[in-house]
Amino acid sequence: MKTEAKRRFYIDTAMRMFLEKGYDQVSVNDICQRLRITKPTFYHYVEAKEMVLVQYFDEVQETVIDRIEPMVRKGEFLDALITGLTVYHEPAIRLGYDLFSVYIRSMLVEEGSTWRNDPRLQELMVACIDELQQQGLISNSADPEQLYYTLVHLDQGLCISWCAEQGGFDLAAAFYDSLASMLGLDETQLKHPAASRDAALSKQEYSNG
Amino acid sequence: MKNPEVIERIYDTSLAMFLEKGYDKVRVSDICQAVMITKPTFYAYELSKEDLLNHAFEAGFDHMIVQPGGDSNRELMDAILGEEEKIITRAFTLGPSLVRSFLKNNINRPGLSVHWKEPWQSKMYEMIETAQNRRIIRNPMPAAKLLHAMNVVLLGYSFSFCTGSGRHLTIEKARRVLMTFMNVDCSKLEEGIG
Repeated sequence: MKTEAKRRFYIDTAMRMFLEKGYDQVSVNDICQRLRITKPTFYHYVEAKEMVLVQYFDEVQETVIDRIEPMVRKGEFLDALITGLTVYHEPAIRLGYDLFSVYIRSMLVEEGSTWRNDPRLQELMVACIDELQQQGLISNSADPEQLYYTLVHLDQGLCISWCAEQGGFDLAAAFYDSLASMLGLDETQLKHPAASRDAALSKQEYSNG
Repeated sequence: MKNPEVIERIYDTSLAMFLEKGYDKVRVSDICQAVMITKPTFYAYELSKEDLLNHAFEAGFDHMIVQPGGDSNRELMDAILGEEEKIITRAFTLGPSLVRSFLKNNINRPGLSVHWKEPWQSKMYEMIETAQNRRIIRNPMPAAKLLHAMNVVLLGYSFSFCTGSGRHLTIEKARRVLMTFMNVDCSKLEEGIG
């Protein structure tokens, strides 16, 4: 197997084990045993146990651009915007709040990695907001960048609240409601209002590698 | 018997130690030594190290009394934003390292983003509704939902503040984020009673 394929296989196997048994119940030893590799081999690809989650979510973020660009080309700016903003909802819901909490905790270290640091994604999202303002779908007239910045914090806060409430509310619906009220979204003008609400959830399929 | 003075001393001393040495480096036994109590006494107060940090973040929000200085639109919004700013000011005062420890400790504790008590909460609802009726706040969410959502936004802001991207964040920027979320009509702020 090529290096990258190996790394992915290790990550996917570890993720599956976390899902089966719970994060705390799976040690790096267990993962190595299942993979039939030595610990140094594992650590060559993944620096630490929590980095399994970090690498997994990094990948989710990297692939989101590929999903958004076709939407933008088709003029589905709201779907593109919601998909880009809610990158983590689908994996969070599928993995469950406890595994997602481990990921969030892993970012809470000095010099920790940051959520959503891809400048290309940001540029695309700001352009979508600008477009939707011009079309009159978004009535909030604040600067598009400021709107994006606010939505990012709304999403971060909701993801953390969702972990705190132990998955006890519908993350995607709560985000959509707040987003629509904040932006002053004219839902009567939307061609498929329900489609936008579900955009973030329906368009990503996870392959088990 | 629980002595309220001792509890206060535990709170004050532990916070000073957290700020000085960092949360992870302070042990309960260090706190006991500084306060001059034994460990069994400490635990008799039914406190944990987590409780002490939570207290530093959450105490004091239950007896805030908000009163707009006057009845103008600007004074009304200043009162609403001023209260919300107290939350984020607390995070800035305690610093990124303690915010990280607080979030790590509480990531699975229900009600993390809500710490409002009565009568403060009703007063906030009332002010938000007034501002919505005057069309200063154009976000149409019911007041209770709007206030909750703003606290969620501030939770997200605290997260940014204590992770990689946080160095450039300011209280002023938090205020702008809240105004954007409420969709405030700034032209209305110069008017008198709407």
